[in-house]
Amino acid sequence: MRTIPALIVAAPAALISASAFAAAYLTIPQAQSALFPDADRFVDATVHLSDEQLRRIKSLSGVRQRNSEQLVWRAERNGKLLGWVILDDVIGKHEFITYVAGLTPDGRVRGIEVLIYRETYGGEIREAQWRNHFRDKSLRDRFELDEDIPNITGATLSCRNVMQGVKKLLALHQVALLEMSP
Amino acid sequence: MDPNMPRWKQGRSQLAAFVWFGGCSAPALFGFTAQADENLFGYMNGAEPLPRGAPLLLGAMTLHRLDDNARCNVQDFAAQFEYGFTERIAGTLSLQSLGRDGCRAVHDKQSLTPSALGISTRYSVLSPARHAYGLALLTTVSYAWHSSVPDGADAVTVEERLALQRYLLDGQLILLANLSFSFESADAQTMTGLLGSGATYRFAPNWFAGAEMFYIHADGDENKRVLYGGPTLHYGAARWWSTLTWVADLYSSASNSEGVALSPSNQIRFKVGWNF
Repeated sequence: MRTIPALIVAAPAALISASAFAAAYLTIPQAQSALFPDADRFVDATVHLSDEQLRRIKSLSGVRQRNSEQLVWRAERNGKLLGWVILDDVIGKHEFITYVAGLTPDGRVRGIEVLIYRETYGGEIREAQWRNHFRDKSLRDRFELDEDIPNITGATLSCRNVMQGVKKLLALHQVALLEMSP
Repeated sequence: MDPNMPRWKQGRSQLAAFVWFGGCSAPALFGFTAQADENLFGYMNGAEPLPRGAPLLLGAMTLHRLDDNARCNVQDFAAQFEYGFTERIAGTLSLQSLGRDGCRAVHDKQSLTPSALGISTRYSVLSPARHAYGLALLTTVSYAWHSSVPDGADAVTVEERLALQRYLLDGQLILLANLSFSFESADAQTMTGLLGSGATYRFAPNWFAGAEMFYIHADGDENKRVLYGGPTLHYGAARWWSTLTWVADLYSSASNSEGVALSPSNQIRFKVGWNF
């Protein structure tokens, strides 16, 4: 049993060095520009959701909205709304996966960009080939893994949670953003 | 225990029983079962498959203490190499070593000595992230040479294990259940059944805390029914992870064919693995 204290001490020490590892691939402004290259400005439109809105999002998407505050930006060109950019994070195998989704004013996915992904497997989630499967998806789509969105081996939970996260953002758009669209 | 039995022989019997309790007759306790999952628990297996082409190196140190006033400690170290052959099938090679010190039965201290080899396969029937439940079938064959253990004998063990896993709260809460049957052929033949479950919650990024519990029922030359349970803590990073688990015997009823009571043990297991 004498080795136990050494093990307990060694483990956190190793963790500290590992925690320094982080893979941030895009900044928020870079992701905004990638999703709406025609926009000349992105206006903060952070949404504060009521309990009733949280319930409606869960009802529409089947996915719980964890936070009542959601970071949203209006993508504009010459004051005209081009779409919405929403920052979200979902649970990966061990860490949160941070991504932004671009939605059109009528509630379709324009694209997604992965900002932070730190899981062991599934780095392909950042590649356009996978992300492009989200284009034009709306709440009318089923969002089934391997039917609407392909699975990535070793990252099934990440794929599923990002897919369901996007579906949840489409529900949020319908509940909180649609009325602000022209 | 027979009061007329010489003290040295009592000690030998207790040590043999202790090592047996620790898992020489139950590979599940020693980690010989293919561990190619998230390793959120020390003893219970998950149903997540190892991806195709993915190698994993795992080390598991388990410390056992015999409650016989002799402060007898046994160390068990298992090294495993695992590889994902397909998206559903993974294979594992294991080498186990045993060491001891402070045991009254044998006064010499023994450092870790290779004591067993094992090979395991895992077949993932359902993925817990894609289906409502995950289900995996694990098969393990191990050969143990017990020359370093008093009264020990070589043994071949075959184990079949079913692992059931369910994600809740988007994967923040994970539930597991295991059911296994193993058959050991040594001087005597032993059938062992294990039923266990565990729950763990991700309380912070990278960190899981939970508990696991398992019941073992063995019939053979020595009979035992024992319930283990305790907390477990897991940390996972991109390329490596570690798990620390402590289990105590919550209930035990065991004796060998001579009517000698077998002393159960508390165990601490520390696992560390690298995905490379």
